[in-house]
Amino acid sequence: MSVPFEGSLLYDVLPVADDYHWDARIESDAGLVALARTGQYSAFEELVRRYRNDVYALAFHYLRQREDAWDASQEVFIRAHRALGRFRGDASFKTWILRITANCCKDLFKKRRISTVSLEELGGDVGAYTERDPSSELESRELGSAIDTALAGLPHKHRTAFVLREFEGLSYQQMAEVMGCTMGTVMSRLHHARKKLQRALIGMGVIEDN
Amino acid sequence: MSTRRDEQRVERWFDGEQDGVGPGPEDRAYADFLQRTRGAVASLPASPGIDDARMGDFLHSIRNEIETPKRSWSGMWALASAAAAAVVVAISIVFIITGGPSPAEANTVDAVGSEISGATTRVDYDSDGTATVWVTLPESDLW
Repeated sequence: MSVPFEGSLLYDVLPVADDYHWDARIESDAGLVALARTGQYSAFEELVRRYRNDVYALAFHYLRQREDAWDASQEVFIRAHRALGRFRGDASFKTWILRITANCCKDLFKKRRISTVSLEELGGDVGAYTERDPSSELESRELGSAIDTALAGLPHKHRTAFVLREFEGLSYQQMAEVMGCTMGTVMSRLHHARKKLQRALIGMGVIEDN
Repeated sequence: MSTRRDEQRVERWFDGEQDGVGPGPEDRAYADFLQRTRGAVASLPASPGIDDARMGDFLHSIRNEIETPKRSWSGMWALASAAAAAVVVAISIVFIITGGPSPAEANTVDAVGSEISGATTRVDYDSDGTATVWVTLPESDLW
């Protein structure tokens, strides 16, 4: 019995034989997608197992609530299953699923009207940060906490860019695939996100205005 | 003072991207800010993740939703469109067969009058039923 090999263009076109035995440990993402399209749900479950934490991490860093991140993660995989037929394989499965995650988080954010704090409001709350322990580790944690708070005030596109770069560690190219834009737009959004955060942190008294 | 372009060049260098340029003296403060930001993010607790113990619940909900047949709204829209088209065709056929409603007849004058002081009015009907309304002005009226 012959099976089209993963690199071939026919892999996603020809049906996989019924007696094809696959091993989740060695099957590639493209292979699992092809199997899932034929109705083999266990292949899709393996994709869920592989990427659940990537999806959850992005959702958590975006939504800042565990329950919301849990709900969003489930919704992401439901949407992914329904859209498997549209996965062309020109981007990696990881960037594809993260793109669905970013869109899902945006929708959930709007739907639940998750409260955000404007950067102007954050700027007034200096009191919490005026007494800082000089030790760099504690200062770093306080700065991290302030960044965590300030992120909530960023517009969706800027927040997504910052989270993908700083929390997920994606390259600009990967970010462009996830966000569905050009690398130039990625750099612009990332720059805006960083500058807005800088202004917010100065307003909060966490960093100095240089 | 750093320009936006300078800062973006420094960001590309900081992020390990191609053609990034390391910070010059004017950009040092911004580069320090980027470094402090990254260090601070790294100090935040990692995302909790979905451990194996919770995978069962996680997968169960996903599978439930996937296996629940969804109402096809596109099918309902098609059905509604076809029904609307059928109604339009049926009404058109009725009009064609019956000749449609009688044309409106507006050749009967129920009342006639004038607000011109001293004017008189009358209605004459000719042989085919066309009504003509006459308004006679008083001789003393000037235009």
